[in-house]
Amino acid sequence: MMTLRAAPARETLAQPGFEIRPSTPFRRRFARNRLAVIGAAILIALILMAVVGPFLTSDPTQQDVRSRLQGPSWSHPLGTDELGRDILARVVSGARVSLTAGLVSVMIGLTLGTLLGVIAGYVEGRVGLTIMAFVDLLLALPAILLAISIAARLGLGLTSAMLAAGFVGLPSYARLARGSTLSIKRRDYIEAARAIGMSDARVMARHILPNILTPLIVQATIGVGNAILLVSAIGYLGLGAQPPTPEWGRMLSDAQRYITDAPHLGIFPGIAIALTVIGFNIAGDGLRDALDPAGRR
Amino acid sequence: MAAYLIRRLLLTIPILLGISLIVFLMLHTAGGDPAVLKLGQNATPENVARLRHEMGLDRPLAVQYLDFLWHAIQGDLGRSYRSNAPVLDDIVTRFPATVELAVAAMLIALVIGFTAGTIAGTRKHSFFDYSSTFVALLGVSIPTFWLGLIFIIVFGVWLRWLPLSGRVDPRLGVDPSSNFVVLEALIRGNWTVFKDALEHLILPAVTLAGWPAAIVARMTRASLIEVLGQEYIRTARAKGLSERMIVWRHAYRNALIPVITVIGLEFGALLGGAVVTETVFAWPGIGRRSVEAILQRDYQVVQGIVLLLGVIFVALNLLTDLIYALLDPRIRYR
Amino acid sequence: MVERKNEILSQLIDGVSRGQVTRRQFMASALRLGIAAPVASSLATMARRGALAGGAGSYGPRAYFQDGGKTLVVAIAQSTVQLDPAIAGANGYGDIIPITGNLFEGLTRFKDDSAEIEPALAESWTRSEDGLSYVFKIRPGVTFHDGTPLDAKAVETNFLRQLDPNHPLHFEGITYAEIVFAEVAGVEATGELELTIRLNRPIILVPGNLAMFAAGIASPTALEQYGLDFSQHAAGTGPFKLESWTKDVELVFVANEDYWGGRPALDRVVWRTVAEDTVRVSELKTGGIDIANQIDLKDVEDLQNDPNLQVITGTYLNVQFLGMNQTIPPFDNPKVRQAMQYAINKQNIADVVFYGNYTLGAGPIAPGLPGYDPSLAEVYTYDPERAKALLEEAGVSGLTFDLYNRTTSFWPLLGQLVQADLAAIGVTANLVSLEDAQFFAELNASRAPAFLNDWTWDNGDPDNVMYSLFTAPRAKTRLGYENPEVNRLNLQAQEEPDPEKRAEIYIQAQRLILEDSIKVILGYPSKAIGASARVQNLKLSPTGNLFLRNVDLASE
Repeated sequence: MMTLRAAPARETLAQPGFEIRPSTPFRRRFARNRLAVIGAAILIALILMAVVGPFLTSDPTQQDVRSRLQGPSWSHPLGTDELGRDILARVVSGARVSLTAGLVSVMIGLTLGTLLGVIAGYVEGRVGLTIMAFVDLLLALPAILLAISIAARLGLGLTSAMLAAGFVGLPSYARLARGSTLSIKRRDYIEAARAIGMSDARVMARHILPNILTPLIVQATIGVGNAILLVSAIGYLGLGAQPPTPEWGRMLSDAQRYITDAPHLGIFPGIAIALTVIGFNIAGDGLRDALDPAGRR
Repeated sequence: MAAYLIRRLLLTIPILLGISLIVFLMLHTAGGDPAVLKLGQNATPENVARLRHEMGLDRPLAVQYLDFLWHAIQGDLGRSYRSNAPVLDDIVTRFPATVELAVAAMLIALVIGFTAGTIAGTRKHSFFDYSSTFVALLGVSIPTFWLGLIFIIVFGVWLRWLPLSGRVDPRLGVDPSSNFVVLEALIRGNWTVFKDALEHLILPAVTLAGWPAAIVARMTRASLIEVLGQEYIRTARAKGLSERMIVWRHAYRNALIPVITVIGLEFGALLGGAVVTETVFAWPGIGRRSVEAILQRDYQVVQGIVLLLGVIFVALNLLTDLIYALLDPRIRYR
Repeated sequence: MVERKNEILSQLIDGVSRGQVTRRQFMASALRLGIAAPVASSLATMARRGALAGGAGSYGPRAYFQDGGKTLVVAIAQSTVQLDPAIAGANGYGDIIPITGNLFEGLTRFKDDSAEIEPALAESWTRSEDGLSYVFKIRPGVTFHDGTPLDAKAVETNFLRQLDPNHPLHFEGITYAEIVFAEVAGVEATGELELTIRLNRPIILVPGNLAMFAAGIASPTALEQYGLDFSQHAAGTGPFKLESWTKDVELVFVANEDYWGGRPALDRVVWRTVAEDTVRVSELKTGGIDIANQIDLKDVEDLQNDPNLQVITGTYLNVQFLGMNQTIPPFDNPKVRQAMQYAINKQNIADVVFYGNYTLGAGPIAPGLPGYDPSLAEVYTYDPERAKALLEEAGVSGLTFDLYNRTTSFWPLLGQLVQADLAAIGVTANLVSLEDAQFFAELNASRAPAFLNDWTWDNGDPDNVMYSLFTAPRAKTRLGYENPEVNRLNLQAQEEPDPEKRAEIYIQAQRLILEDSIKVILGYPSKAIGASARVQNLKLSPTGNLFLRNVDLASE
């Protein structure tokens, strides 16, 4: 199951409040982690594919029913689908759809989650507790049910799926942001800023936010992978992107009808999803190791 | 301890209230009038108006919510908008299937996860460590539905080793929704049913186990490595204790604590979220039912299910904390 | 312990000889027995003491029935929501139609392989001279599954609960009354076994309408006793009785020993909901199910080549179309509507979606019904150039509109084909994909400029599409359509007893409808049922029913 509880493993392991240590060059540490480099390479390739790919391949919605369900060949390197569309073209432009979906939903979750988390950590007291109670409630709702409800509420489509994935990720960012905020709010420079009469909003924006961003970015990198998985699961259930949009999850569910006659229809989008998620996961791990030597395993 | 327990239990009340309120609002402000959906494409506006009244949908939202709560407290979760059947029946008949699947998946995940995590953690940077890390990575990256489909094709259609879908062969006449088929067949010594049910369970359980197995493996590894680097382990080593003794007697106990949290969370997620796996394998559990209910705007059923899952989530959290205390005598609850 | 082991062994051998345990299963079980038997015996003892047994309450397990009876497993695509025949059709059909005829029967019924009507709970009926009343003679000696005897009063109760919203047994969701009891002025038990139906107009459709699923007769005692819970205790008069029901999972029927038509050959029928087409076919191939009602037409050839299986194909009274609402621009322009007719490549749909098991669209009436006229296919032929020319004449360019589509089964595929055809003539159709319930809500609210949909004949009469789609209020809401001449013809046909004259009238009406170009008639799909070769006497009913009263299962 795509539990997508925003990877609790990392949540427990990431030390809230760690900061960038400028003494060791970040780049060298990142590069030392070979796996992280592979992750970064996958991501760069993916982004290239999403940006440039669609100009190089044929139109992903161009049908040619006479040559449908064909296996890989020179003219169609990954074969054709049930309507004779080029699968390579669809997988390539699917990268654009999935990456956008993953990034947008993480932005939604990250922005709202950080906002709530920072306020909850900074204000504490009743307001903070209420905010966190709300966040915990979101956590108690099963992720995919939450997603389906949102999709059912806003109608079928990619937008609903992105929003849903965003909300599912929200609690982990909020918790992380709150923890980090709590750990640095008593620091001298924060107290000083308050003492000279800086407004709370400014303190949060100018002094707290920049200093808690690192763990959030690590979490967000991995979060993109999870969001892509969730969006594709929603697509698979038929609630996300609608045809003829080349979304990977939807392509997989459409391929199911031909799974015995033409398995290649389902294999390539599946590999694309897995590769993308792996890319974000190991890039995230590498980022954490590079940014936080203390938390390195 | 007792006081802590009572406080925790009392705390569950506002959480459950919150969950029910969120779900209620989300569903009731959603598009699609359940009365229209219930009556279908041939209904007249008069039909719809009459039904709305009968279902109480023409009352203010607050009244509807309080009404729902009032009945829920008395154990009455209402009737399904679509089938008129009591929601509790729905839940009671569907939940065991999910529990059975989740328990099976969790067992598989724990065996794989602990084994791989322990070996990888005690032999850092070995070949096994790298390969298990990679497999674990695959575990959290492969879409479950895709894995399930591949299993169905390979083991069900090509090799024909295992059945494709459902919980038990209908010809055996076992009610697929009642209780725990595998356990029950075992108790009754009905081997035909036991074997058949077990065969049905394997593919979905393995599919579902992928994610938690990966997470448990990673957690166990990380946690073991951390603990093994600590002072008291070094002391133990200095005392000349065998490595096996160190790992089993000293490190494991402490390393397990963070792993337990994850297991609790993951198990809760399995119970509430086997939606995709249940759909792929036509498993008659609560996950599949909840998707159907949401799509059919069967508010009452969705509310019931989410409430149940909320209770389970809260209970699992509590349980996790209690296990903490058992494992780590330093933790005391006040 | 040895005794116990022998017991299990003998059970297994028994199972093999009765054919419910395959040899492979037997070998595997026997092997395992050596290790497992000791454990089993101790557990069995515990179970007997009740230490471990699951409660015997209402959710307890059903007795295992490995008794060697003939159990038929049928897979249906959708789940069943309701078993009360009067309500069953409310929320889309679900898969009630294949099921319900085995549990409930009306006064009349369809033959198991055609849309022809034959007597069921009525032995015979007469139509009065003026055509304004029907008298039905109720079959004597019939009892409902719950033991209640069938008489005219019981039928009257069933009909009145549908007709009168204030009837104590009228449950919300009875929305088929408008069709089943069209033009009915009154129903009355005029004798112990005699029922009279009075009409407003002398329509000839009554016997056909009463064969529809929604006219199935339920036990009035059970209706009164269980009310809204009737579905769980459904009692009709059909060849099978309800044994248990797990919603969306399976329904179990057992043979009705006292069936008036003779006990069916099957002992038990299990209806399993298997939503995925691929899984249904795979289950059929691997022996998990005996019948797959409605298989994907792409698999027909493959299954036909399997010696263990049989495929039954035939016409299915269904028509698929692209509807246009002529009150919503751009479809208020007849030239635009006509352009659609020439733009769509129906042959493509037949090949890609239905693998050739498809009759290309002519008029709204499907093959196999009076009034079907293949020559109507020539009114519009596939001609994209002509379509472009028409659009030019209409003075529109860069035309864009929302094409509402359903999300289930083949609809997304079909929608994309239509979309590509329209793109070829320079028209952008945005596919709006909606779940069924939402889809129909939008249609009924006149919000869809154009939509893809289908219609299945419930009563096996052309009237069911001609009146319901082009004259009834539905025509107005969904299509913005009202043609007095079409209405006159449709009403006239309802009263015309001579089949040939009726067919003439319908052909005339269809020509008018095509001229108005309110729908592009895409075509009529065939239906295919896949079954194990052991299944005997299985027929394909064009009305979508799956009658099991004559079906048998040969031993392996």
